[in-house]
Amino acid sequence: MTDSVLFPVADHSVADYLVAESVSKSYGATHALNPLSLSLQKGELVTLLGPSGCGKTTLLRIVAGFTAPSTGRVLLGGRDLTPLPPAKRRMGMVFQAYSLFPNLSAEDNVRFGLTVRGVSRAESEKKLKELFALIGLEEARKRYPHQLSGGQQQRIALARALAIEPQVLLLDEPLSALDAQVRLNLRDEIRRVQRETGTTTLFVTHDQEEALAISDRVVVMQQGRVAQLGTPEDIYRRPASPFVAEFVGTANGLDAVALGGGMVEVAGWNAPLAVEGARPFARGEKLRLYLRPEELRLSELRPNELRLSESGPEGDLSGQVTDRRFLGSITRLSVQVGNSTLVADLQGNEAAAHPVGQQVRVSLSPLAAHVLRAAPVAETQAELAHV
Amino acid sequence: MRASPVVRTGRNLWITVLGLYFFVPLVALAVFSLWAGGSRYDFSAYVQILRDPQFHQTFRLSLLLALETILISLALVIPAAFWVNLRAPGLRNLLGLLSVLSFVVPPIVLVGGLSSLFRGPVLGPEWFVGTPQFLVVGYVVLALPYTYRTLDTGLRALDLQTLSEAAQSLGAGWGTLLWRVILPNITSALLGAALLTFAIVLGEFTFANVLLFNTFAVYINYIGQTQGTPAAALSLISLAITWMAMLGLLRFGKGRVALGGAK
Ligand SMILES: Nc1ncnc2c1ncn2[C@@H]1O[C@H](COP(=O)(O)OP(=O)(O)OP(=O)(O)O)[C@@H](O)[C@H]1O
Ligand SMILES: [Mg+2]
Repeated sequence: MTDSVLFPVADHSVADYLVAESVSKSYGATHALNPLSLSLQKGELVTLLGPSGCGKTTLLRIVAGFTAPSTGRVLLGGRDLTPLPPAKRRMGMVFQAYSLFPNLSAEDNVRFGLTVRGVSRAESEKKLKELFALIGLEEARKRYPHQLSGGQQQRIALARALAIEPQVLLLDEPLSALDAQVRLNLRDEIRRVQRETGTTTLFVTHDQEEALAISDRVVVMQQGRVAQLGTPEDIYRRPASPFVAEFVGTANGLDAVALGGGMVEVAGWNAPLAVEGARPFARGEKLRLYLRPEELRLSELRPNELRLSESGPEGDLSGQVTDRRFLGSITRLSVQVGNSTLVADLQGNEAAAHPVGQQVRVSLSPLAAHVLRAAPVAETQAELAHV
Repeated sequence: MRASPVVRTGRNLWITVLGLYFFVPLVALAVFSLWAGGSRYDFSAYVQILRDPQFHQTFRLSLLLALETILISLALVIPAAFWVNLRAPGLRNLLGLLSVLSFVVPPIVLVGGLSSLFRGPVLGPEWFVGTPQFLVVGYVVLALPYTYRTLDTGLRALDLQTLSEAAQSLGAGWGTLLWRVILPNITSALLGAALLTFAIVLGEFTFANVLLFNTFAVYINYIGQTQGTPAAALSLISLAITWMAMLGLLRFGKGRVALGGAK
């Protein structure tokens, strides 16, 4: 871990704006956060993603100044913030719980931080106008919190946090109390507003879809540690561990054994499978094979093809459709291959061609498969039990 | 489902009995207060009370003591209840228990303890113990069960942690937080606490009587023991004062914005 004595402030790259330097937090014997370092560039939106209890809120509150870290420090633009109280940090915060002041109208809520900072009436009026236009709620300026919907309240809370032109915007699961539809809209809204204002943002969520959709980079956390840090693409396509692969996205996870030369064998399948990513693994190594549901293609197997082995000439698999679930934009089919069940997500019109009971060939697109060295079983299962 | 006639009659009867229980004595009192001997009825008893300089003196004293008690109680209890709710919810029960001690200790014991404490060598300079202001010390304790309970309930209805953190992240210090965020959201609790304190101080007899201060309650007692119809008139006047205070509270309460974040 970086040590503040060995690595003085100047050693961080110029672009690093907000830096958490080996911060950790223990509550007695509980390690809520193991020492971890993280840096955000100016204008970037970084998401903390992880199952409940992995320390996301703890890290966010350390950055905000509401929780004192057990070790480490928080730097902003090279300045050590650790001794500063929250009120002096100029960080805007949006909470999971509705946090508007019930006695103030929407506009007075937004004005609060400006008044506290002694901004002149004329100037704050101008700022209010901009902000209400930005969040598109001009008509709600005079309303009180109890006269606003949950989504509107969170938008006002966002405007209130942005009013002080925060150096960093911190959001702790701001959408989790909202309905699905509102949630999607507001998610995009937050991203748009964040881009337009260029505010450096740390966003906490346990919803992987939300994280992938709005982030420049995602920090996947696991039991107070960083499991992986990367772009949404990285996290999704190239998960660094079985935990990340199984937490992010719906993956078909299978136990497999490397055969060498990019071939893997899955117990119960009577032919090996060619997987480019398996080349580096030596013969006999235990692996975890992931097949992304949306990258699987199905085609009907005609009776005269049934005689072929379960793995076709191009490394395709064959199996039987056992279940289908209509999910709106996609249909999720379960396909029994050998003694494992694969999940395949198809567009509506494609799915219509594959009724339950049909024999199908499953082909893998180049992006479909990802292999990782298998983790000790107990570990992965214990962690996913949290999810 | 509609109530059967029997149930309805029973209910009406019960309400009537309850109404009679409250209003018959009041009406009797009012009639008696207007009696001027024989079969003459007039307002002479009221005139006599309202002309009595003692009435004005004692009432003003009690009013002043009530205001002082309210201010001191609120200044002590608001920060304590706020802190306990925000930072030490584990201590809430302890504080609740402490606050009701004055229910358990009889006022006569309380006042004895207070005066021996303040007359001792350490506390209580003579100029303080010798003035009616000394009563406020005891009144704050007497009012504590009501002020603490009322404010605690008011604070509990708020999401103190989130509101405090939101205000702090916007740059507010503790003073701004209390004054601009917390207090405006517990105004009905504040008014309730103030009204109860007011009523307690106005009606408190034991302390003042033992310490020989001439407060409104002592005056009422004196009139009650020495005069007839003026005592009835005085009772109605003090009742009217309390009721007016209560009505004022209710009206004020109605005009306010409804509380609570989301619906
Ligand atoms: N004040 C506290 N005292 C003791 N333990 C705490 C405290 N706050 C957090 N913890 C523990 O620290 C761990 C991390 O908590 P944290 O709130 O950061 O999780 P989280 O990732 O935000 O979870 P969630 O998604 O449920 O909000 C948890 O195991 C929690 O029980
Ligand atoms: Mg949390």
